[in-house]
Amino acid sequence: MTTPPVSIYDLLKTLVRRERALVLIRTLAEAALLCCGVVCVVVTLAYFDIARATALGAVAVLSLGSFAYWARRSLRAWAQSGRVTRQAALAEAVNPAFRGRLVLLAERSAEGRPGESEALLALAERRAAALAADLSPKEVHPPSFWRSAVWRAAIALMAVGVFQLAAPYSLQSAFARLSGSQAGAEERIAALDPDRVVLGDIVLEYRYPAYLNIDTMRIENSTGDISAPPGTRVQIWARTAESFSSARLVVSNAEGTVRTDVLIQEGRNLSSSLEVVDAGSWKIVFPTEAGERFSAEHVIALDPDLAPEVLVEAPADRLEVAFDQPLPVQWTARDDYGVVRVEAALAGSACTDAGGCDETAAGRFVLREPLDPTRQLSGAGGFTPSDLGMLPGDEGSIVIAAYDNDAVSGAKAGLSRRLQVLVLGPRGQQTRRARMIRQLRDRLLIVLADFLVEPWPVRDGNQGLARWSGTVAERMEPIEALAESYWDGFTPDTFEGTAVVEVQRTTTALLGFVIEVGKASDGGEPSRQDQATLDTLRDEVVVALEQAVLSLARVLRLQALNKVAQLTRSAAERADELAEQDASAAAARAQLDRLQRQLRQLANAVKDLGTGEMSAFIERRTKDGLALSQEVRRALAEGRVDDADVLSDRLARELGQMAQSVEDMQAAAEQEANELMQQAQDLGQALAELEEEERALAEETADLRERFGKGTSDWADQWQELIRQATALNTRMASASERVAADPRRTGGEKNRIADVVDGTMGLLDAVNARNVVTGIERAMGLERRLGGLATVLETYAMARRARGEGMVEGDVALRGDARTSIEDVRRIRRTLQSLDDDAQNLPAEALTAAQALSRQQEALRERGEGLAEEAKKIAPEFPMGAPGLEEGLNAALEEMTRAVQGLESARLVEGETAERAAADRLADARRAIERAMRDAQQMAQMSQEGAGQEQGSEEQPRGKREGPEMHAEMMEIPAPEEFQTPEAYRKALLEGMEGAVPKEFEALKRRYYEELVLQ
Amino acid sequence: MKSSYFSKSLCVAALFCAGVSTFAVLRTAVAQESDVVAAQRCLDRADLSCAQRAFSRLDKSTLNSLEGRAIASRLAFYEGEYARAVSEIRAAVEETPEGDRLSRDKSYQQMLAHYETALAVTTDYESTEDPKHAVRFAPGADMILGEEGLEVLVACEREIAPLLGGSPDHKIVVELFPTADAFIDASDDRSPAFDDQGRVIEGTTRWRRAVQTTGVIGLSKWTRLLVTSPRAKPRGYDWKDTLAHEYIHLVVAARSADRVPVWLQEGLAKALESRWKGDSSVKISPHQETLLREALAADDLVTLEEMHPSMALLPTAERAALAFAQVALMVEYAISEGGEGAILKTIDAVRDGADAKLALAEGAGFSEFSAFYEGWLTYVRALELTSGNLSALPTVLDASGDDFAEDPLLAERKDLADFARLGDLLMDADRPLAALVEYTKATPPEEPISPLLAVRLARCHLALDAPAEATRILEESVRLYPEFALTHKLLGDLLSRDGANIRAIAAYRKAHDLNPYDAEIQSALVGLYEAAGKQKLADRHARYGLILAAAGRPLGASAAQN
Repeated sequence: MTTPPVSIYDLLKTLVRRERALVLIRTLAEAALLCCGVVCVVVTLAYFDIARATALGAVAVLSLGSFAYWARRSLRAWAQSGRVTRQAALAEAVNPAFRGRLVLLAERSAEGRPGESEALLALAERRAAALAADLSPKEVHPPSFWRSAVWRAAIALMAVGVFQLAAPYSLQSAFARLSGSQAGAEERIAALDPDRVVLGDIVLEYRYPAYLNIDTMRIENSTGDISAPPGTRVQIWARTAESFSSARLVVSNAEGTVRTDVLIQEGRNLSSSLEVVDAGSWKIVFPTEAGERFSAEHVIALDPDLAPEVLVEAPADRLEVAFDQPLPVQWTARDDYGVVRVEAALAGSACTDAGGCDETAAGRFVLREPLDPTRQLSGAGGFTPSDLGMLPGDEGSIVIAAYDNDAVSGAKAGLSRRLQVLVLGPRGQQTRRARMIRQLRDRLLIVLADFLVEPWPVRDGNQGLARWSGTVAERMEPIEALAESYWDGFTPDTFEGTAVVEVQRTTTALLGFVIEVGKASDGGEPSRQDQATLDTLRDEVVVALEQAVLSLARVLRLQALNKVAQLTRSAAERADELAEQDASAAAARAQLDRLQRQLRQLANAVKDLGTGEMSAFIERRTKDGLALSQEVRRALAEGRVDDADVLSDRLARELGQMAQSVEDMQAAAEQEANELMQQAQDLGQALAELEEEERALAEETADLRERFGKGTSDWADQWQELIRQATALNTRMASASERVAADPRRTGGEKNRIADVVDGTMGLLDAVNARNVVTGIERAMGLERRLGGLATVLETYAMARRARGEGMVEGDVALRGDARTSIEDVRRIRRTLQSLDDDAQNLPAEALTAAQALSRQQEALRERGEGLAEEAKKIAPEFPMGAPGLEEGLNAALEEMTRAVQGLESARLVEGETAERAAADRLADARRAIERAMRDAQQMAQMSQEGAGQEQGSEEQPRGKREGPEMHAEMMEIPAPEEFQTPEAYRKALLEGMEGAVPKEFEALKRRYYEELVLQ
Repeated sequence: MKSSYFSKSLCVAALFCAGVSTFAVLRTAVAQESDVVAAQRCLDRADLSCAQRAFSRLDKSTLNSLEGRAIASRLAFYEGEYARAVSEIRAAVEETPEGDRLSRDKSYQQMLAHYETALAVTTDYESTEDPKHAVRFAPGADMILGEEGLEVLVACEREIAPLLGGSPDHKIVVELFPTADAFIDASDDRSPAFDDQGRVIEGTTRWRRAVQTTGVIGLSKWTRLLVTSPRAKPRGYDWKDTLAHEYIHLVVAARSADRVPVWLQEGLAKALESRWKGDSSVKISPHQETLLREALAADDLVTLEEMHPSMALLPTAERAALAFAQVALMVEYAISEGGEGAILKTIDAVRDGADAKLALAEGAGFSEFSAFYEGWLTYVRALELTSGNLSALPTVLDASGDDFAEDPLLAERKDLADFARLGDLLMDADRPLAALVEYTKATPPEEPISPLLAVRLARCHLALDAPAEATRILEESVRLYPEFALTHKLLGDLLSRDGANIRAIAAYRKAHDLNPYDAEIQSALVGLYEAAGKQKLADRHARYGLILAAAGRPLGASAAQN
């Protein structure tokens, strides 16, 4: 279907209409813009208070000029738009394919020219019409023609609107001023109040109260309004237009009016002062014969001295602390003018938000009382519940109160939010810790269970992994929450802290790797290698969880066992007493009551022992004891006193037997634990000795190397160069491997090959780093083969692609070049290694003999190490939390020792020495591992004993500071300046302290110390 | 002359009379002396009836003598009459003249201390008796053992004694001790213990050390049966077979004048200990089967010489267990070759002074022991011995071990025990699937499931609603470790739930035989017996339930009811 030919003339008329419409719109927009401009001029002239005549002239000139220009421009555009030849030319410009036909037809629209062929014109018209069918008037006259004008007008109108809303005076008033219908403000005031005295050149000088410690402030050309804190004296100077002989300053406020004399100089210069007491106003009264005249009234505003603001940070809103334990709070007190004292107080009736804490009340402890008031003070802890007079078992809320230095209206107090504090005695602490351990075990157990039963590996590739990592993070949340709620509980120096830290460490590693895998595989499936790593990391999390749960459960069980033992013993003693008493006596019944209570407690305690054989035995005996005691009670109730006596005897004997059994078992467990600790101690000692001897041997090897070897620096340089080369090789191939892995056109064969090569470069780098000549040569040879294989594979696949017409993979040439270069590098490394080996072989016979002697010594040490490794293997699993790192350290040490033996045997002294030092380091690792295991075991033993102490019925007694083992980390405190007799003494002590070296962990504290000094 | 003749005659007559009277006096004295010795000797060869007969011949003056009091005391001790034994020996100690103190006092003092200990241990023991037997037990929950203990003795008398030449005439006394300590105290003869260097170890005795090391729980000594109550073990043990086992020792010792060597004694006891319940097969445990199979393969059987003088002195528990299996199978082989009469023939021949090995061979119809041994080897090699790598159930007394001390695998493998503990914690937290994962980790693939783990795994499967798998695991475990009460109990629970009442009763019965102190088992048996119409048995177990609830005799019940 063809489009009917468009009449060229219709098109041209359409274009005329469209252009005229656009011209009209633009003209109107420009008119609006012009009006806005006039308004702006009027307003500006009014703002600058230009004389009316001048203003009128300026407005007239500008308005008329602009209007004339606009009118001319608009009329001209209108006229032009009506020309069809113009429209034709514009259309030709849009579509050059008209090739002048349109202009020709437009020109011929009126009439043809003589001699022109009608047919040719018709042909031109048809062709032009065919082209015109595709021409849109919008293309010829785009809307942009009017758009900018309309935008400008709109913005101008909006500006005028905004001005109307925000300006200090209205547009109407501006026009009114121009037209002369309205006068200025002052003229108006004068017209309203003819007695008003105008004050000019007002100067105010503020003299603040001394306690504020603020310099005097002078304000020239003031409005007269005063804003100052109470107690501020303000000196006022002003001038009047007229002369006066006397005047008085009148200050008014809620309390009334105060009049003060004003000093007048030269009739017009006034001077007076006032003290800011309250909000109000001031003015000056001029007595005249005709009566009093007044100045304008000026505001007096109070600049209030607010109460201090105190912020407190604490791990929780409710804290459980020992009565002598520093509270874990950090406080900051700020005041607008100065804090004079900060104290901790029991927030009882003695403390109110308005009045602070009653100084006479008990339960206050001054935290800071600086020598000079300070706008901000901060501190951490610094007080214990006992400082506030709290005793174990007490619970109350405490606040930190700060007092400002307001000497005018009296010191105001600012109170922090309240913190609830429960004071624990030794028993309370133990109970709390036991509760914490139980909760931790239970939560870890749930996490472990979730790991054990979840489907693995995760489905849906990396998306699934991402979801799973979110689930794992959620799983860990209860643990984090618990760690927060027991703010002092999970420190790394406790075994439970160690357990939590290990769980967190492994989980973080796992989740971190999941993120990395997600990035690397870009939403696809994780690679097999990544999946294997994921499996390993997840297994590590599970092992850490298992270990943590087991160790915590073991402590709870030991506690339960101690509790059971004590209850059993106690019940047996009570049963003995019962058996010795006259069964008919009332005391016997009371004794029986107590015994039964204890037996019921025992039955509950046994449940914590678990479901094993031992608990089954004790449980059964406890049940029997309860049944027997019930029989005794029944016999007494029925008056069968003799039966009761017999049964009591039997009960005593049964419980005695049970107590004996439990004690034997406990003794056996204790003996076992002691033996283990002794074995561990011996092993630690043996490891330390072996480490020392290994280091001594390394020194001997170093001496030998220096005596007979090539220059040490030469060797060192050669090794450094080798390491550099191996590193460069590894980096190059790893980078190439990443490129290949990311390239979808590469085949699995290519990817695997290059990954294999990267493994080889890593191995070579390890060997070179370890100064291992033999292994280095072996690995270099292996790597050379792998690189050769890689080059072949790359070549083969490239040929195959060419054969399939697929073209070359991007970067293929460079990759093959890398492979060839790497082969050369590996050969160079191998030659260097070989040369090093040859150097060793060419040592003098004396050196060879000495090296072999050292090798024998090393072999002897290795054999000792093997013995210790066997011992470690036996001991490690016996520790409650195992001895992570012990066996690993020893095995690594043995490997290094073997390498040292081989190196020395072949007189490769550098290799031997390096291996010896590495072996010594690994032995040190093993020693530290066993020391950690012993520490954890001791803590657990102590913990179980503490747990047992809970049931001894000891009364809660305040414990002296530093008495007994501390279960919480002491918070370090900075001595406050006021604790020194003089500021000089404080600064001197501080500076002396600054000069001293401190351990790394106290660097931050030292820095803070110094900052405190600067602040104060 | 006449007077002289008369005088002479008178003198002769007087001399004759004096001689006769002196002879009579001397004869009486010698006879009295020989009866004391005879009684001693009878007791030395474990023949209480003989001693009682000799003792009954003693006159009053002899009875009041030191020796008389001593033998009276010893006899009373053998009879289990500790109060009398203590009073007699105390009198002897008090009456010993100053001059004799050095020679006699020491042994009398030892006897006194020993008997006083026995008296103290058993002072308020109760007993269940018939004219021929007495089962004594500590008051309390052990009352549950009296009735069935007596039944075992009667069954032994009926089923086993005829094979051994009959039961002794005297009353057979069984003492069941509630704890290992009580057992040791009552059975300890106070011999000092020595360390490896031959120094005396203070604070213990040889016997105490032996019991603690070997886990001995029963003893036939002083013509009595001394047995540890199943209450001393957390999950009980097969105390009835132990009772029968010790009974056999007593009868064989009495019949053979205590001449049968230990290895043969143990072989006879082991081979015949199940006969009281009508089971004539020789029961060696799967663990023993494993040991025997390995020993046969390695040609490392325990020789009879190694077993002398005591099986308890074998270097390891495994060797001892193997030795017991060997001798039991030898007796079984002898019976299979020579018939049941072979046993009596052997015992009598040994009593009469024959070599035990030869006697056993001849009893079985062989002329040489070597031929008998070769035949036995062939016999044993033909047995179908289990191929599993099983360990023995450890003996744990009086809560002396930890939670897994009774498990043959977990007691030795702390790493696996840790997984089991985690499984327990997960089960307590109601996460059976996770617990199953941990229990599976605790099960090495190359070894059979240990009994404790089997029970735990079965519980997991039950919680996961897989009772069939639970049953399969339990049945396999029962086969491998038949002495584990928990397995029987849980199997009983499962069978009962499935309505297999007869099998459930059998499982519960086995559990009860091992651990009669479980009230749940008693309750289950009551229900099942009632359902099966066996009211008498139901009543019995209901009574046991009451005893357990009251930790002894329920109020209002008299001893007669037992």
